[in-house]
Amino acid sequence: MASDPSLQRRAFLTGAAGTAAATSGCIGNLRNLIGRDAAQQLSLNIATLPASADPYAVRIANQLSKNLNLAGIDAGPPEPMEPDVLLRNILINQDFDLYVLQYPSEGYPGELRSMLYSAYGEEAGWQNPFGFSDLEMDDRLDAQQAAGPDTRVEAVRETQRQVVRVQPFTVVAFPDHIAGVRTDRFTGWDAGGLPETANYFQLESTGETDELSLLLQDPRATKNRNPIAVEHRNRGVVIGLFYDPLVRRIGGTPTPWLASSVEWDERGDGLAATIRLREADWHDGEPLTASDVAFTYEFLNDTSLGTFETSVPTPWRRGRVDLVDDVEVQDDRTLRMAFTTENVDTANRALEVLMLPEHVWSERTDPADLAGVELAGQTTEALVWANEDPVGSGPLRFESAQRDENLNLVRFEDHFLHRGDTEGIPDPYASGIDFERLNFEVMPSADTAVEVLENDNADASANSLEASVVPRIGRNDDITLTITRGQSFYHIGYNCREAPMSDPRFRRTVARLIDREHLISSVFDDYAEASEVPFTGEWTPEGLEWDGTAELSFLGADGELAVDAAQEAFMDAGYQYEDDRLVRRGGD
Amino acid sequence: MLQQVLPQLLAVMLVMLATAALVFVGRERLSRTRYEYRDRFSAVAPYVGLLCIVLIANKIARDIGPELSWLIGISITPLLQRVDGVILWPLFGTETPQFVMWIQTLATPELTAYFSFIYIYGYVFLLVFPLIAYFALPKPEPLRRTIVAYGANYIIGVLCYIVLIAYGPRLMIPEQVDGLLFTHYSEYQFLTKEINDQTNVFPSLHTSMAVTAAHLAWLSRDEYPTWAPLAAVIAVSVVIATMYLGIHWATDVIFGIMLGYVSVRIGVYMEDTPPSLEKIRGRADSLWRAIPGRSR
Repeated sequence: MASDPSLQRRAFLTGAAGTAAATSGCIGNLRNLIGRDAAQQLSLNIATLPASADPYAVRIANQLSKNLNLAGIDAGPPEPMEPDVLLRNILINQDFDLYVLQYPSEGYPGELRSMLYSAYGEEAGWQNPFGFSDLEMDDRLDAQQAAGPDTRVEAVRETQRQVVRVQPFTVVAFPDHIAGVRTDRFTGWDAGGLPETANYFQLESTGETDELSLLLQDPRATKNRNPIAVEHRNRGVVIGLFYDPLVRRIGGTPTPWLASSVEWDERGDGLAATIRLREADWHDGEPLTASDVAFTYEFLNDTSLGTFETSVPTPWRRGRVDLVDDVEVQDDRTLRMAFTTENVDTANRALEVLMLPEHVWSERTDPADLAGVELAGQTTEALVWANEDPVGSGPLRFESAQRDENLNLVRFEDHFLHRGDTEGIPDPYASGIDFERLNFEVMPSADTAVEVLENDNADASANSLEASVVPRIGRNDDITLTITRGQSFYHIGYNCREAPMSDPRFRRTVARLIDREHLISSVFDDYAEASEVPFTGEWTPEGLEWDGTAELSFLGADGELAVDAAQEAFMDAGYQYEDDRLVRRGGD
Repeated sequence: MLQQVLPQLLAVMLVMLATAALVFVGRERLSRTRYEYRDRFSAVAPYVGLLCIVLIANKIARDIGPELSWLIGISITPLLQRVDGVILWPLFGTETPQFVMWIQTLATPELTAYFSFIYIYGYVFLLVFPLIAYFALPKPEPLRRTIVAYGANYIIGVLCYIVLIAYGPRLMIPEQVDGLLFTHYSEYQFLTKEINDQTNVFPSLHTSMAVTAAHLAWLSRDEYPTWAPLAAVIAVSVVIATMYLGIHWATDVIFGIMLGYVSVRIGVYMEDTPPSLEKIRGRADSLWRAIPGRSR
């Protein structure tokens, strides 16, 4: 900023009016006037991804920016950043006003707790990135976590009603997961191609080749393979190939994975479980034992393992770790775990956490430093480590990678599935990996991905493609188009730590600048579903099912904002205007 | 995919260069060059060495540049977009469209094909042909200033890329601006990806290099009177192509033109005195002596 307008104005007034005032003697009036600061137009910054990293986010951000401007708020063009830079700014440095992004949801309403619980506001990561705090919301989140099977749905609906009411973030839409696949070398593609890690285990080779070639648009896994480096992960589908959870959710059903059995029983006001592990090894040959499991939960709760004054929990999927009350190792392959919930379905989510080897990660608990200088407070090595050669226990093992170019994996022969230990695992997942090698190649755009598929140089796109290439895939008889409803919703995030985003009335009015129906057709080419709530289906509260109009309805029609109505809405929320500009006192 | 695009580019380029050499340079100059190439090479040798150093430095800077950029760079995309959105204000008033979007309103499949061809083939030809043409001249100055001007473009361009972070219009306003080259001829993206990072759009090096080549063609119009107008036509086409294809903002192009001009001035300034180690040492010495209190 060049100069403070209020100072300029003060200087001008003192100069111009000084003489007159001195003669008239009403210096008191003048002081009353000059002592007041001029009001300034509210100016907001919208952070988002460039179209190369996310084809939709920037378009939603552009719409939002345009309508904010029409409503008299100075919102410049959105500021684009690479995914890891953007996530670091939002989730770790908490440095943003508004952003437009996809939330890496897995469709599990318990995620609401990590997103919104007040006590997480100071932590780094996807736990309460908004810095939102609301006692009523906390109560509902507590009630939701404690709810038993009968009351759970209603509890989630209550939370969601409160989310729509106070708008800590504004849900925009659920985009479809779009993929192009070739079926000449591999069959068994699920809807949407490979939206989940488990989908990789379904594939069956036609016998022509033992190499699976996939196209990747998000290059971050070629550079960083740390499962808890939040700025490098979305839903962690690729990283999930290296690591195994105790229980894997397959088609919505919890399936014993590293655990061969999970026996539930009541314990006080919560649940407990006895867990038997399968015989398994890490990729480096070390045996996977119960103490690795106990370590993983302890470590994810505090990656400094108690050496820091405050604990440094995992920034990714932290809510799941929080469900675990206690882990007790009984013998090498038996554990006893206690949970903070009475609901088996919720407790199962805690078992879906990826297991980490103690002998690798216990050495990463020191403060992160650069040549001995500690740069970032409250950061452990574990959070900034690139983990280039990941030692997991998953059915695929890291082989090689070239930054921004490719990532190559090979079948881990010692995996329990490949040894034949498949009890409790349904077909076709029980057969494990049906290829020797998996090669990901990074594509600069969706168009290039389709081009490579057309030329028969790959089997499928691993990330979701954008809707604009759907006709191109449709024109080619060799590529099969497959689509499924995604769970990661686009949303507008507000930095509730700062005014005026801290004001729910302000957020509710901003939410009314978004025309979801119009965005669905203009941005997503109809390959998305509008929603106001982050968890849909049975979790949708009555009256909030999407029927074409939002509860917080758009202030306009067909994507065109009614400027008068928008200004009036902001005025009703207590904001003031000067010459069609929304102005605030004090300000920056 | 690169393996498919690259041979095609090389083949087309060879044909274009051979034809142009015959038409503009002529058999007589070409055959004389065959006998004198040693002398001519020694006359520009220091400059070629300089260019090699620049290219190696450039390669390193481009490899680490994008990462370094995110550490120390300044993001100017919103600024470029704002400027781009007001350039046409005198024409349209309050309904001013983005400049790049306005250019794309003229789009036809033929124009897209033409500008895509220009952006890839025309550009490479415009840069490489002068090297052949000026090598075929008995005097070394045109080739010398060309080498220096190209090097200057790259050095200044890469420094800007490290300090400034900017994405192009096709990535920022995709609903208004179509990345025509990459949606219609997506195979070229494998080529451009190898050469440039998507955050490097300010200034437009395509523009600055094209302007440099055209300006140099004008300076040597006495030797190649017919090359100058052709170079001008290709250069103007390249400049328009960068915006027509949604790759650059108008501001990138304006600064690209200025960079192109400045680079030619640097080239002309250095064409008589080749850079030598002695000179650099001498300058470093005088700088060293200029530091007060050294002899204490």
